[in-house]
Amino acid sequence: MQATKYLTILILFMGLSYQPLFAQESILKEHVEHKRDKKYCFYPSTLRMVNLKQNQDYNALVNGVDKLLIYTLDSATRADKSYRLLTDSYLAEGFDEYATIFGGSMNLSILGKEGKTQQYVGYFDQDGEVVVAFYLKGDIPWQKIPTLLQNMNDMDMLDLFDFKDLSF
Amino acid sequence: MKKLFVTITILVASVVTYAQGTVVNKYFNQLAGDDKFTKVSISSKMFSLFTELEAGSEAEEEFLKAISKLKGLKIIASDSIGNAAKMYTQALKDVDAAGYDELMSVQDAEENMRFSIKESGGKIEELLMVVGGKKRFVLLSLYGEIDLKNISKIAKGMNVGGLENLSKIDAGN
Repeated sequence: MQATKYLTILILFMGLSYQPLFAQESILKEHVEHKRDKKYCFYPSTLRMVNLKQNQDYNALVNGVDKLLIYTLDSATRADKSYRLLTDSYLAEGFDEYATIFGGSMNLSILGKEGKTQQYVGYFDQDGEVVVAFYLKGDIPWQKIPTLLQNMNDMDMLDLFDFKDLSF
Repeated sequence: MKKLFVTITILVASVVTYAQGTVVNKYFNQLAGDDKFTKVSISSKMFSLFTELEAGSEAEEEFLKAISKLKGLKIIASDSIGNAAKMYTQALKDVDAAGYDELMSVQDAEENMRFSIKESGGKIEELLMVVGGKKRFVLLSLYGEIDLKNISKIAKGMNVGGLENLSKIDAGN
């Protein structure tokens, strides 16, 4: 009986702590799910899977990532730039602005929220031709990035974004 | 009395926070919707991520050390505006009016630039660069705790046009 009580408390606690993270991921979905060309959803296993040569630096980099969502957005959304509104929604949720670039040929916004689990969200717009929105939950050892870039060749990774016919 | 002290502290803190980046924030707001200008903003959070990077060389290590106390960077830039010279003159007036001290000026046939700083308690807390050419205008604000001895390392590492002139400050020291 006592064990059941503890189990109930544990499940409730886990449910409550998971809920805010889920809610924050859903903000991105509300903004872009119906405006997407493609959606890519990565978990640790799939992130490791695209690492064809099993580059250890890359694996170390993605090891702490719980989930990565990437949306490529449709032409109407790229034109009306409505995806930019997602930053306001995330700022209202307590996210901090990490970096922004506006005007010219490139627009970029990266927001982040520190906590038990780190979260990053944002978008990247290159000339209005490619617009990508993303959400990342998990920890990234930033110090590994320079080593990874030095050691990685193009052929090491599966280029998912070249799969023109792939749809989800 | 305690309430009064708390209120004054909050007011002073607000004024100090507002004072930092006064000029660049004004231009950010003014030009928010103008696509002719590129606006870049890097926050202290992003700088803190940079400082976690492992340096691959001595130069990188020096750069990371130099930026470790920075709190942010804001840039407004355009290469294709007709009134660049006018904007440059107006920006200098705004910089002077906001109480910045001139650090260095560079003038040539192509473009002019001025570096200004804002000090507090003997420490440089903001460095402003204003560039004005025939069609080019740049306003850059680097804020946080800035050490002039490290400024050329920051300038080299950031690869922002015009900022390399700051190496002349080091040479002069």
